[in-house]
Amino acid sequence: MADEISDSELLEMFRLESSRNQAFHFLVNKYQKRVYWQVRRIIIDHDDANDVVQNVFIKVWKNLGNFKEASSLYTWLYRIATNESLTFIKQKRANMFVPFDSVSNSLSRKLEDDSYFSGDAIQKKLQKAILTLPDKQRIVFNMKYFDNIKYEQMSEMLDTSVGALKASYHHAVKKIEAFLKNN
Amino acid sequence: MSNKQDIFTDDESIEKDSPLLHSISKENPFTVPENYFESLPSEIIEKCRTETQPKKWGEGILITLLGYKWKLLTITGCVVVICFFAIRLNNRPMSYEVMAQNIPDSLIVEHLDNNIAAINESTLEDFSEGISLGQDAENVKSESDSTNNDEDIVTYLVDNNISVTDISNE
Repeated sequence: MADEISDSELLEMFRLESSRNQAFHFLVNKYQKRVYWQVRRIIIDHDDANDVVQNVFIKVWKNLGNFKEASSLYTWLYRIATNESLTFIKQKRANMFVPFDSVSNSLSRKLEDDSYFSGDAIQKKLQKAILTLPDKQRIVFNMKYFDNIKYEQMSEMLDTSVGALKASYHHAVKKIEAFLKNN
Repeated sequence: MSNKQDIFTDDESIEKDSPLLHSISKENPFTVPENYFESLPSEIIEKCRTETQPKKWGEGILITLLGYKWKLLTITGCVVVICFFAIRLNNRPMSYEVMAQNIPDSLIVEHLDNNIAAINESTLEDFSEGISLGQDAENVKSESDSTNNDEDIVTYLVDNNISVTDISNE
């Protein structure tokens, strides 16, 4: 049912006090998986990803009334999810008093013991390689490689030029290839 | 120039450049607990309800403070040090000089007016000396000039038979 409703219908329902809760319920059902997987690839740990996803939808609930439809609803959601994920990582870094390298190492260790990871050894190695990338490069790589999102759409989501995104993806691929060869 | 061309090549050519990466399955290797996506919407909606309810007084402050535990520890440490020095400074005894400064002149004059019969000039002289005797040793030393001046004044008043009432009336 939720998948059948268009974004404009959802927004219309949300603007009416009487159907607001129902509209939000539909919205969560429609986008929860896509938002979750976007967050999970950045955060790695399921429990942390769950917290971030909940925060994303709380933000959506609070701000959807002010959504101007300058971009599509999904682009807007994706942007919130990315920002929330980056904020979570920054907070973690600040709380741990450690540089970038240690956070990526800690995420790698989590991956090692993660009971919610069903991939084979080479897939785990790929995830570890992705974790060595800087945060934004990692997001670009995940969006392009796994979700196959078009650069134009990514440009809207991440507020970055198409050229910069292509360069970022290209560098990410080179680094990952080198990691896979050397490890 | 060739670098620039490399950067802007499309996905297919990147795939050719990185055969190891493209030999790995793109299938999602992550999983979630059973029925996770079935229960997530109700969890989110419940949280949204709680978030939009007005918080009890102080609850928000406490949560914010706990979130900044490290900053809080640093601030608490600073406050403890400041309090320690403040208490030490406050425990120093207040000198009679300072206490006397807090009494308005009108009250002193009024008191002398009402009790002038009970105070003879020698008592006034003793009182004047008493101020300097009651002070801390340091104050006595630093204020010795002003004490001498007070004694001189009292001696002058006694020698010339001038009463305090006369001075207050003036």
